[in-house]
Amino acid sequence: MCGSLCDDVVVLLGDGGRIIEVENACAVGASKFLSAQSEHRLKTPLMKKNGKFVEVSLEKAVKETAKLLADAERPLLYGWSNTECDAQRVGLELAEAVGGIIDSTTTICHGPSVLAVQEVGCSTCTLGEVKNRADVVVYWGSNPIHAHPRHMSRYTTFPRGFFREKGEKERTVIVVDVRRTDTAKLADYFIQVKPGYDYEVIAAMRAILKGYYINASEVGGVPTSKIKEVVEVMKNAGFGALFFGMGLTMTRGKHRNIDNAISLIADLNSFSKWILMPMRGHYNVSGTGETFSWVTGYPFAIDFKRGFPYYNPGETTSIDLLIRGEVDAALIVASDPVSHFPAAAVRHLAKIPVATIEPHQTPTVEISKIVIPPAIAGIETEGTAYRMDHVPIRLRKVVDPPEGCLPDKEILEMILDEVRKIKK
Amino acid sequence: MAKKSLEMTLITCRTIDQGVAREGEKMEYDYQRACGVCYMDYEDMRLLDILPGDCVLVKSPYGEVVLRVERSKDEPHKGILVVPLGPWANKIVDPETHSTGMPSLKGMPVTVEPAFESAVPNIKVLISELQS
Ligand code: SF4
Repeated sequence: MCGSLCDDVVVLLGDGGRIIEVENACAVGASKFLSAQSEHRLKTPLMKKNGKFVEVSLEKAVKETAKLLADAERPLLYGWSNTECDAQRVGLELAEAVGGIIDSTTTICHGPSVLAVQEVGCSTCTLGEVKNRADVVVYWGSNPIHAHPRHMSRYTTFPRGFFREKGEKERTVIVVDVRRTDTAKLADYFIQVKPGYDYEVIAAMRAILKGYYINASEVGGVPTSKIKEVVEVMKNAGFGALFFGMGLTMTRGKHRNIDNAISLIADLNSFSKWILMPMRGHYNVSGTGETFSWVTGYPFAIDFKRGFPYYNPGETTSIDLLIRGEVDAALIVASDPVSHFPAAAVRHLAKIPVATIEPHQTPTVEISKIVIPPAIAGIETEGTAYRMDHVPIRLRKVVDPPEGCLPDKEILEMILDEVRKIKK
Repeated sequence: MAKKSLEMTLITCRTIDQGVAREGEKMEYDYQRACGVCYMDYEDMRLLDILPGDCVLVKSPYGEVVLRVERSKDEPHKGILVVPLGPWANKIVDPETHSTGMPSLKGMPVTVEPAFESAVPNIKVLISELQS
């Protein structure tokens, strides 16, 4: 599931609680439910012996994980975006108990957006408001057709809204990207920007809005006349919403791109009503930001080594810690960093002892020393998750988990108890 | 004959196939099919004398990887090589975070050359390379 966190999914069950069909979900959402009962699902805790996994009891796996974390000088507790908020909260307690660093997948998706919001603030709203009011929708460096497949149909473009009774016919869609993506093909305006020149195009838009003359025929590969045309549409919006993705956070400029985009939205608010929202990837990555912030005051990359929460992106962020070779043990929960971190960071992760709480066979499981399969939140256990607009949604239990698989929260509580016994 | 090669800009991306394979099937061939691939313009393929389905070696200052080539559905984006996020792309991306925590996963220069004799490494091979 993605950050759209669709809450209209219907799961049809057959005999013995078998999931036979998933209605309303997109292909990605459906495969999340169907894979829960696939033959590759992990069902018993595993530990590596002579390079091979052997089955162990849950108690043994928990004890060994606690020991691994308690003995470490600089343990990293990473992941958290594919589980519910209560498990995240216990994760924070565990990080504090072992004096470790806790970080979420925000670090490799919208970390720069968080940094920008902390610097300049941000005007935003819920997706319900966008659905009911927006008449101009901008996707910048984001391709929801592939990454958030129902975003346009549920919230922004196609649905009828309270003030947008004709749905799509009353809305103008603008896409800014380096290539004509499947989302761009549906847009009314497509701006094809040169890779790494988003900052310049945003700056040009702001200059035009403020009435300055641009003494160049093109900016960042985009004809100035086209930028002017789009700015005019944005200026005259009744309610505009700008959604941005990795195209802004992962390119040159990173948080400065977002900083500038937020300022563009602030400028547009002199003419009309505009909001902006990051397109969050994992279904509860927004929840990590919420939970971590209300417990520690910081949204990600929190270091408990000093006995109190300390936050300094670049220093306490996972990739930097791993590349510097600073981490000496890791607990990975509901995430797969081996698939998503640059090779330089993964090489260090592969050298240190790793315990993973994960229901599926993943590359991270392959490099782990201990693996504990949990019940999957939102399918086999309840919980709370936050949609990308920070609206909390209750996750339901649909089927029973495989025998012996406990929710992430309970496994973490068991590890925490063991750690406390060791540290006493 | 000198080996052809092309300087391109690497952009990582998300695709729906990658999203589907990501959910529980990461050690399966589906994941390799979805992520061990790169998309480029037909014009760029002509410059390299390759066809869809051929393999290319993509090199960056941080590593190299063999990928299968597909013609991009999103052309024209001449000079841009699009690779889905995943363990294959991770071998060639720039890990520098510029003190933000976020590596530079889009917009780095790479060299692409035909690799007719090579095959896309499977996920197990990639993992053992990272462990060695
Ligand atoms: S759009 Fe996102 S949340 Fe909705 S069903 Fe698809 S993956 Fe799940």
